[in-house]
Amino acid sequence: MVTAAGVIVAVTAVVGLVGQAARGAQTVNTQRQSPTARNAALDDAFFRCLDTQARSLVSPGQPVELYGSNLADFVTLLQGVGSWVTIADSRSDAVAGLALRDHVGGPGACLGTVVAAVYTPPRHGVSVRVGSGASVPGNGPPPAPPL
Amino acid sequence: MILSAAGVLPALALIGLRWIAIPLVPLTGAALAALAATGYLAVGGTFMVWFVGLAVVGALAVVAYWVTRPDRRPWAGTSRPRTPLAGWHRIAGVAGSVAILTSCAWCLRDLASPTVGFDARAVWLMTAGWFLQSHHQLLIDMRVPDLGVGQSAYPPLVSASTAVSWSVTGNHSMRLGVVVIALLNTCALATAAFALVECGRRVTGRLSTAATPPAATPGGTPTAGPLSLIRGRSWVALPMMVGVVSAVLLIFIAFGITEPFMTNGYADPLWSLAAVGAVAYGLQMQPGRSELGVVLVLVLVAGLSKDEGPHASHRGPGPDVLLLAVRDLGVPCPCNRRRDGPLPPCPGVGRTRGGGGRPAVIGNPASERSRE
Repeated sequence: MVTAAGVIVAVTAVVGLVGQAARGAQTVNTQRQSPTARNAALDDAFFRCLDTQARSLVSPGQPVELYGSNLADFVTLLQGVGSWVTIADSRSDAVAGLALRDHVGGPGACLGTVVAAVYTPPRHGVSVRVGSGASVPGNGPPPAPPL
Repeated sequence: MILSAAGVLPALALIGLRWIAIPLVPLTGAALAALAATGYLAVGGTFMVWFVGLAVVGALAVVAYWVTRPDRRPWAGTSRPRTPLAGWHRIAGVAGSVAILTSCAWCLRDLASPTVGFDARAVWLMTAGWFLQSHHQLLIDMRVPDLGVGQSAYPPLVSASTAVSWSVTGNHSMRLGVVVIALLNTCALATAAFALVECGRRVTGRLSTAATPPAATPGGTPTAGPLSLIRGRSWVALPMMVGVVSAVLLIFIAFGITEPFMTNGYADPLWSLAAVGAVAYGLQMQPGRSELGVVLVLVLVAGLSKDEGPHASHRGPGPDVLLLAVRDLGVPCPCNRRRDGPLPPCPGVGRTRGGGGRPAVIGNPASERSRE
């Protein structure tokens, strides 16, 4: 009796596991389908574009401050450059302030966004520069990743 | 590779020459990286000097241990006689390892999609870059008010492991960081899955012992329990096969539940799967030095990956450590009653009862010790 019950439980468990494993394999395949891969590539291209533009404005060893007109822009800029940029200890130590500018048309923008630097003191007589070296055509923001 | 090189000797010292040591070697190296990051943040110097230093100290300590205790070397033979099922035992280990490796490799095809998650960019990979800056700059990064997003109190294992890979390769890309984190997640999953293979092997061992023909009593009538109904070794090996199949199914189920976070740089799969493995090896296996070594590594990984590791409810390693202490230090527990009596359910341990010779699905440590 107990053995029969154990066999029934074991078979039910294995059937359930097989069913869930099949669904799991389907989920794995979904990640490699075109829409998911395309969105991931666009998101990756956007942030690489911001990274390249920021590197054209400041070098990793130069202390900078990060600004944002809104929280979303600030977090986006932080995600793009936060791993390599040198954050200034105080505002007076920063050689430049970095910020994003949205709704920028034409070439040279990352989905309509560019990185801008305000230099203090001005560098070569220029106090504001826009990053260059990369662009992603289209309008942003990029597809939101799953949270 | 570098994480594995740092973790191989400590892992072998803790676990021995077992299949489960393969996925635990990089996790041990990752734990070393986390300790290095902690020391670097607290004291100063450079992160890679800390990491290499800790790796060298760990390796020397292990070598010294093996020199002073030759019996504890992983390749030291034991005096236990080979059982008739030793060959099946080894086949199950090989089959389980190959099956788990193949399943993980198939599921890791998702890395072809260059997904980088929000947490990966905002926390894990950003902090990894901070560990490669000067100590003075690291302290600034950790306290500047504007950087609250990255200044989380999360432990440093994930970021430190990424920092090691960035430093060694010179490639400071998000892509490399995501790949490293995905591999660590998969190692934790492989460890948890291999617990099912181990469980199958142990159940087979117990069934083979219980199925041994009983000696005849004086007077000539042999006593026999229901397990004498098992004919041939093929039935006894069935739990091994079930263990291997279940491990493979667990791989696909876990990837299905955790994707895309398994391959987009999130640390949540790492701590949760390490906690599952710690529960499986710590509460469901027979106590032994190797099993405790496995649990130690997994508890460290879970606790050093994310705050949820040590602070989660019934699945966190904090309560698990307490349960292990209750189990292994001989604290009186309802689980330690006589085998013939009714047994209440124990945390993480279950039993089934049937007739005169109960098939032990999962053993009771006190009674197993007395039987040995």
